Amino acid sequence: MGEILLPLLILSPLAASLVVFVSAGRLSACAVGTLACTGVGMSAVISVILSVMLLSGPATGTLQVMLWPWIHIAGFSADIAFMLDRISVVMILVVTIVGLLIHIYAVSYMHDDPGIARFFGSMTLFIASMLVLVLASDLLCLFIGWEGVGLCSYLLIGFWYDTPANTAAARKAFYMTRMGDAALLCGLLLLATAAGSLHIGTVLAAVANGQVALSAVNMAALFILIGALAKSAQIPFQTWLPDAMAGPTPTSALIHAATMVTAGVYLIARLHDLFVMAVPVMALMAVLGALTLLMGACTALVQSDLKRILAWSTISQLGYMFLALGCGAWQAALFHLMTHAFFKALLFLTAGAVIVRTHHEQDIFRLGGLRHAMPGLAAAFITGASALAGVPLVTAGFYSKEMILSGVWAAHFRLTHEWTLSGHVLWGIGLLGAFLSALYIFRCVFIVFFGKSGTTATGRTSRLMTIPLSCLCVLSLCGGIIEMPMTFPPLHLFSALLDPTLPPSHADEPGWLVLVGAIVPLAGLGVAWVLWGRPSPIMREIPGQAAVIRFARTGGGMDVVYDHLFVQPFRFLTWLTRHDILDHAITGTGRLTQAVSTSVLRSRTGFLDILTLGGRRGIRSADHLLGQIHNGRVRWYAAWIVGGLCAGLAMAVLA
Amino acid sequence: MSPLPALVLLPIMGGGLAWLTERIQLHTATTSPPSRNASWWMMLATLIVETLLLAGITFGHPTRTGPWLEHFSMPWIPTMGIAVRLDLDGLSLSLIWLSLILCFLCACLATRQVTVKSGAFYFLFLMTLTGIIGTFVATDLFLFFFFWELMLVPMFVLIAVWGHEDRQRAALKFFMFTQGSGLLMLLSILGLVITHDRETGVLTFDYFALAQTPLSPTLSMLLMLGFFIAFAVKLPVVPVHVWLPDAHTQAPTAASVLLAGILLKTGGYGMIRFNVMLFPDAAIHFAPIAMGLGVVGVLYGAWLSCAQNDIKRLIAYSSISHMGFVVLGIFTGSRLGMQGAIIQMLAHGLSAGALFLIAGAIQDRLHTRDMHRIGGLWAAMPRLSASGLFFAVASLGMPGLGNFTGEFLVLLATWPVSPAIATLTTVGLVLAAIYALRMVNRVFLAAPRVDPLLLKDLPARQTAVFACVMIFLVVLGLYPQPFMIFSGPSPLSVTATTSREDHAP
Amino acid sequence: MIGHDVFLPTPLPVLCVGITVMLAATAWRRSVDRSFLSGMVTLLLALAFVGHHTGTAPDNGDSLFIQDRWTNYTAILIMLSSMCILLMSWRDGTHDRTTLVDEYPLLCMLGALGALTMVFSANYMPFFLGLEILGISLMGLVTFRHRPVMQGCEAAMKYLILSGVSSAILLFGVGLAYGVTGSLRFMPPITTGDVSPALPVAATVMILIGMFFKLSVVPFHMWLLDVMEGAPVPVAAFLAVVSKIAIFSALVRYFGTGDQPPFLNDILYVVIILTIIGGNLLALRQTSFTRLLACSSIAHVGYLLIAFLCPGRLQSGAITVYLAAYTASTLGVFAIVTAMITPERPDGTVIAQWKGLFFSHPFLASAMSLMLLSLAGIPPGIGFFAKFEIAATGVEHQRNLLLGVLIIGSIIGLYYYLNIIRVMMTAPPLPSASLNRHVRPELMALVIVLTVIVVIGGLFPARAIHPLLPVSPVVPAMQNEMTMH
Repeated sequence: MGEILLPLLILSPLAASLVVFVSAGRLSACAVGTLACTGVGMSAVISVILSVMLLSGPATGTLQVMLWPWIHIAGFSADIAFMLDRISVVMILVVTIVGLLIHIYAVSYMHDDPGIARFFGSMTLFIASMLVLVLASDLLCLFIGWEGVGLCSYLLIGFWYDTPANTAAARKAFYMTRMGDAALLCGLLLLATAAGSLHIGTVLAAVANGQVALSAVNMAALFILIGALAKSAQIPFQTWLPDAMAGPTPTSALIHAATMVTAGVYLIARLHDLFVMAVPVMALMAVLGALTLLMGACTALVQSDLKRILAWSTISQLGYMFLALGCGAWQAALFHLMTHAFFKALLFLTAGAVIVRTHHEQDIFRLGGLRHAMPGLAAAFITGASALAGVPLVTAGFYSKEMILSGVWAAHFRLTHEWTLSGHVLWGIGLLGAFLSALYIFRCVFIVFFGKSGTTATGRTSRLMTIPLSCLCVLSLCGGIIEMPMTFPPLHLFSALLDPTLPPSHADEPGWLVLVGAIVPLAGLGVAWVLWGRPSPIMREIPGQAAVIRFARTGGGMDVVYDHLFVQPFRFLTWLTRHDILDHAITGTGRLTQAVSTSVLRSRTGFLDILTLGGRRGIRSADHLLGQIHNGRVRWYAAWIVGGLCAGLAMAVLA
Repeated sequence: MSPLPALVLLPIMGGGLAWLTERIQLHTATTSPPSRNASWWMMLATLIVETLLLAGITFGHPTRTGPWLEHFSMPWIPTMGIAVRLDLDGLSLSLIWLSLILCFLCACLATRQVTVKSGAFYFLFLMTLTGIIGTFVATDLFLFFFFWELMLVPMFVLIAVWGHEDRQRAALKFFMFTQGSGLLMLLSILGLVITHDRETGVLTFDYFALAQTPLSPTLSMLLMLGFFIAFAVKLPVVPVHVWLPDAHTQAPTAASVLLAGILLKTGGYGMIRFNVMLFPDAAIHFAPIAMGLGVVGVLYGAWLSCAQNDIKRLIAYSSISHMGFVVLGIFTGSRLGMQGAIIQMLAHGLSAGALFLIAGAIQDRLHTRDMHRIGGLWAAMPRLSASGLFFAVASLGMPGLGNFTGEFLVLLATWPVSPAIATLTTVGLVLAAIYALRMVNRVFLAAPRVDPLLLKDLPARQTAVFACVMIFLVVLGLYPQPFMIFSGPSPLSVTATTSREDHAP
Repeated sequence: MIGHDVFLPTPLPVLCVGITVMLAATAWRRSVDRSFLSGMVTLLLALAFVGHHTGTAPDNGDSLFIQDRWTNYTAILIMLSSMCILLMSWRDGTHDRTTLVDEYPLLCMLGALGALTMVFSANYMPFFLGLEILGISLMGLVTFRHRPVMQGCEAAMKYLILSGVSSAILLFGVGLAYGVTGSLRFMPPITTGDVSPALPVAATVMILIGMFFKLSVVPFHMWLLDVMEGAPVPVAAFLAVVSKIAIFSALVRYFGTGDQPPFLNDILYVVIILTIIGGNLLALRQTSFTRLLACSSIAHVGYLLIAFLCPGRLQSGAITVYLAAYTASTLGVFAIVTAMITPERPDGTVIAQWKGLFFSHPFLASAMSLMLLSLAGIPPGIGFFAKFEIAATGVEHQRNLLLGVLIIGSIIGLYYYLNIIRVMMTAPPLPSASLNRHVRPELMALVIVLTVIVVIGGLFPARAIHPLLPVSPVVPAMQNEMTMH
């Protein structure tokens, strides 16, 4: 039965997407929404059934479905094949359930948009691609999903294409991820060449039994890491994600917070056997993750656009996941992926609802005091914010972040014999990040929902929107208790779930780690309250004039750097070479030939003219006709003949 | 009786009939109102009969007994050892299928707009098809060259008479380049034949006999270069590509489709059939240069494509980029690369052909090809725009669609030869994203610039035709295996390819 | 010395008789149509008698005339071309309607007679006679251009003077040759005894130069452009086709088809390169159709000479096919040009005036394109196969330089041929009222026949390649090989 359900899982949103696309303009908005929700809902149901089936089976059991061979020739094979194991179970549950909730929300959110069919077509297509990505048991198949989600992301960011900025943002996102994709493709080529197949099991086995040289492993891991970094908007590819907020909010929630951007995390977790062999790459990953989380948090702290705050926060949270991955805390990364999907989706959806009701006002300093106007939304947002900050015990974010921090503490990297990188430093960064997370998100909470009211809110949040919000609230709060820190009661469902597939990473952690991890977010919350939350806040508005703030607000100026370093030169060079140089060269040859022809003609008449001047004197007396002919031409011709004769004779005789 | 001669001659005869039909109609038009498109129906009927014939050939061989599906031979000029030799293998067959599919596309989408002398248009169109099919099946080198030249003439006329504003210059350029390089190939053919004559005392133009000619390395390299230059111009490979953007841009839509879809493929076909198979050793020696040219083509074409504002020109340069992959694949020296190149040719034929059709449809409606002036069309023409988006995405190499399959296989074959080249080539993929999406965001998904009421979307029937192409591309992208088996070039020199496969992983 | 048993190929006396009859008829009563008709009949009769001869050829080869397959072939070509040209000029629109032109066919016949004499000659005497008959009648023909009269006269005078110079050189060469060998046999002089080797070489070179002038290869080509432009169109065709075939035939006869002596090789090499490049370059910028065809005929002679320079088993086929292809295509082009000329528009030879021909005269334009493509060497015309054969001979002898020149020349040639087609395809500036809609039926028939020949010849050239060339008098060893075929 699993053999049927697994393809059906992907097919159901795909079919919904096709129907929606094909029937564009003919179905009503309501029908389109229903159709899309049905498609995603079906796959949510199927994924629950499949999870139950898989988890009730043996611990190492997987569900393999080989649909058809993609290509089989001597020395290489790839298939369209899917596999459900415990990692993908987590992913499909997250993707389909969060996806379903967001779809339901979007039905209401987008109900009056003329392009609703395009929207839902892309959204369901995205779900299908994402499922392909997470279920693929062949890297090639995975790559299909990988690029598919990128395409859907492009379509959705640029959904409101009337504004050039939106399409520019969409293109930017696609280009940056495409660079990563190119690197990923190189990694795939390398692995395929070395292992002769792209089947994940085969590849990993080949890596494990030393069939692939260590340098090749490192290279491949690096390539794949670049791909993952680009997809997950990590340094140095982080700049596309904030711009991607140009898309409709449900898109931001689904693609740019909950699912697609975590594809990089998933990919690395999936290929963890490969990365374990590549120690330097792991270290690089951890360091980049740490830097990103810090940088993302700092930038989020100075943003004034509500969605951008959330975007930078996403980057920062993804940094946590990469940090965890780099330290080998695979379970922690995936756990955080899951909880992050819940609370970030919640935050985005709530923000979207707020924005809709305040006439598309996104600047937090123009909002304010909204907790009276929309208490439900305020509660939801605060729930999400607490989870993001990791308020201890009651929120899911606390548990996952705690798991990461404890994993990081234990890690250390032996880069060379002398050079080791201890996890403690990274742990410190992570902790600082946690503090900053609490600070920036509660800054947002206090400014938007407390204090003086800025704008007037109208309307009501529709029922269709509140249902997903409340579901996500519950998930954000309780989603974490399935995995407790080691020092807590022995409830380790998540680890137990993943342990058969991923190497266990539990190390002994000192008990005070948890304590510190619990205190720091609270401290952040407190500082935020002191700064922005009190009836007379210390800081109402961040002084934007400070150069450092301005610098930080643009995301560390990376955009500008890239713009000057790559984009402008590229534009200039393409502008410079817009006409084909080779074309000119060859056209020039043609011109030259014509010029030669002309000069041959001229030499024929020109010489004649010169001779004519001399010759004319002698033939003045000739009669009219002869005068006409005897303009020297004939003499010239005759001279040619005689000249040719002499040349010929000379050649023959001298030869 | 082999159906091959019929396969070759049918289009030209049908074309002649179509022309006659139009002339007769013109004469009778004074008495009765003309049923407008009798000659068009004639052309369609020709294509259908041709397709049936081809289907008969394809499915008449449920089990492939030998490598070659069909054979036909008839003496032509016995004193010179020239004969009408036609052979059909999977490679030819798949390329002929591609040609027919594209011809149907043109017939349905692009030729109805031709109102001036449409009968002559159909005749020339089908005559080009004859030349192309002849090129794909001829195994007598003289005959091959005959068809090779023959297909130029009608194409020249198509461009020069029915093209756009600067058509005549473009047509001249096209003809001069391909003809001039063709002469080099002629010399190579003659050199090969005469060497064969000297060695064996038999004057023949038979492909299979000539393949056995013992050649010195230098001579073999020289002769191969002659062939290579001719094919490189047709394909085109970068330094000699300059005819292509003009010709593609100025040609009428149907001719653009033929040019991009099939005419370029004759270059790739020739490289596989003649360069690599006739001169395997020289091809190996030449491979580094050819692969270098391929990469340069990929990058240069994509780069220039990024800078174009003329939509047809953009597609034309992207064709150059895609054909770079074909060169790369063919000269990797492995069967994998060659298969990749073939898939790439098929997929590019479909996607670029469809893009040209879309560009043509836009030009018919807006009378401009300038992307700045077209503006967003999605609101007014969702069906056309969606199709355009799909094919643009296909041409940027989206996995799951045919182009990616070709590119991936080529890269996979290139990697063991030179990881550096393969890595460099992937940059081309990034550039492909840039030009494809630039086009999408200028033409389809942008603020509308033209009054939407003036524009008529594609009729449903035409959309359905596009949908068929999309399905082809998806199948090619998700399930290329049958095509790989089906379209492999028949091993004339089994030894040559298998021995070189050892180089590959 | 000359044998006394007169061996005479029959076409010659037939033509002579025909011309005499025509003369007499003209004296009796003048009629243009009858004159043309009798010319045609004479040519037909002569054509029927090709291959027949009177008397017997002496065994030692010392006869005035010779007859073999090569002579027959070229004779047929010449006579057929003459018929075509007669047909073209029958109701030539440029003729002055007020005066009768019944001497025109007479001059044509005389020209044909001269050409045939050259073809059949095996001795310097008939060769020179033929040359002069041809030259003088051509001079008369050239002046037939009615309007502008000065241009015709100028062209004729130029031709007269220059051909006089070249004839003198040629005659001098003949004299030298006679001095060396004591024989007037039509073959390169071979040194015997103690004569200085420079003398026969000088004689050969001078004779060669004379022939080159008539063939108008570069650098002896200057006259051709002006003369052809000044002449009536059919006469230009006569110049381009008949006189060139005759001279080329004599050239082949004279030097044979074996390996040429080295000095000849060198000269030919230089001449061929100059001819091909020069002819094509000159043609590139021409605006007048006849001038362009003159240039292209120069280039074509260059291609022919490549085949001439490359003896071997492909040579015979190459030369025969090329001659046929050149004749048919050039005549076709001239016929169409003639068809486009009307009394109202005598200057149909300006290329720019051909705009929109595809729309006003689709058939003529298509035929014209076919002929031009055939001249450029592109299928399906017969010229494709012809050029293919030429290239084959070149490859066989590895004349790489010449092949390179051939390719460059062909590409340049392609440009100007295509350019004409391009002009014809350009939409006309005004509705084509200026062009006459009705083409003379005999011209139409001629064009159709020539088109069919060009296409059929291009598709089935197998028939045309039989070994026809005469054996080389210099290298008799080749004889055995040739007879084997």
